[in-house]
Amino acid sequence: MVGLCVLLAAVLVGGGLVGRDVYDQRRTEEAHQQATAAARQAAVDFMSISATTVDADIERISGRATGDFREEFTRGSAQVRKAVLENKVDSKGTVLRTGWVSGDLRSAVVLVAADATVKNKGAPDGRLSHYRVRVGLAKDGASGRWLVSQLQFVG
Amino acid sequence: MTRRKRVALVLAVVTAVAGGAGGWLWWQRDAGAARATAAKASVADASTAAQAIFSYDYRSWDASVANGSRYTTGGFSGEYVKMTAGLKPLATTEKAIVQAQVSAIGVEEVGGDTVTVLVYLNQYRRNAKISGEKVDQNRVVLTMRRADGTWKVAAAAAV
Repeated sequence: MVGLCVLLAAVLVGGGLVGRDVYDQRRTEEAHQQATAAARQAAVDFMSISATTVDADIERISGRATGDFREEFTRGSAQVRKAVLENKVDSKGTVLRTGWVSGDLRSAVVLVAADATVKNKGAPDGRLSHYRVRVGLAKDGASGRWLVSQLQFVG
Repeated sequence: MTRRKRVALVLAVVTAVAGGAGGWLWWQRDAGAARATAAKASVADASTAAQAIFSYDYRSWDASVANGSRYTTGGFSGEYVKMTAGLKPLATTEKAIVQAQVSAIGVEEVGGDTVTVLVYLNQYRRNAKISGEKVDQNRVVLTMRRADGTWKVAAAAAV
């Protein structure tokens, strides 16, 4: 009986330790998935801007932005708006593939290979562009949402 | 059955169930750790492989193909040899030298024994028809498979 009790205690303690590791692994993998989904969405948003919906488009991008990227984008958004309206831009982005580079529970770097069809005054039928994007993300502590802290085109 | 025996029986059952659950957790942890290791190792190997497979030099064609072949496995090995054999005549007449460089790389999906990897690959091209160097900025997805203790390319696709 004492033997059984000791064995049970050992099994419970051991299981608890291993369970904690499994929990940590799951949380990390979940963070990868959420960060990747957010990066995918960020790339689509960034490449899908149209003259007819430009204000909402810009709002959507800055709503998911944080840190340096938010600052940069906010600073340039008036110019973007003007250029989009003047050139009657209608751009639609599609994500082809993604690749997780690095990260943890609170930040991540994700590659997004995307194509965009860009129509404008000069190309009314649209022109297909291929992009290699790298997105830096940070998890917002309060809302739990993954926000874009950096968005770069990789050369 | 005495009370003492009943308690012992219950304890034994609880211990067995807890042991089973513990075993399952243990297995889950191993699988999780294996996924993390596979992701890290395959990315490192994919980077080396991509540079070898997508670089060519007309002056040492067979050597660069032989080198590239070391990083391939399964059906792709044959495909790679066939593809490079098809390129050789033109590359030779054009005196083509292509140096591939990985500009960024990330893991798309980790399966059991395969990992798909997204690679931003730059190919710096020189040949008789162009002056100086041209750069192609490619996006390539490599399917890496574990073979001989390393990760080798089992499939390659431009996206």
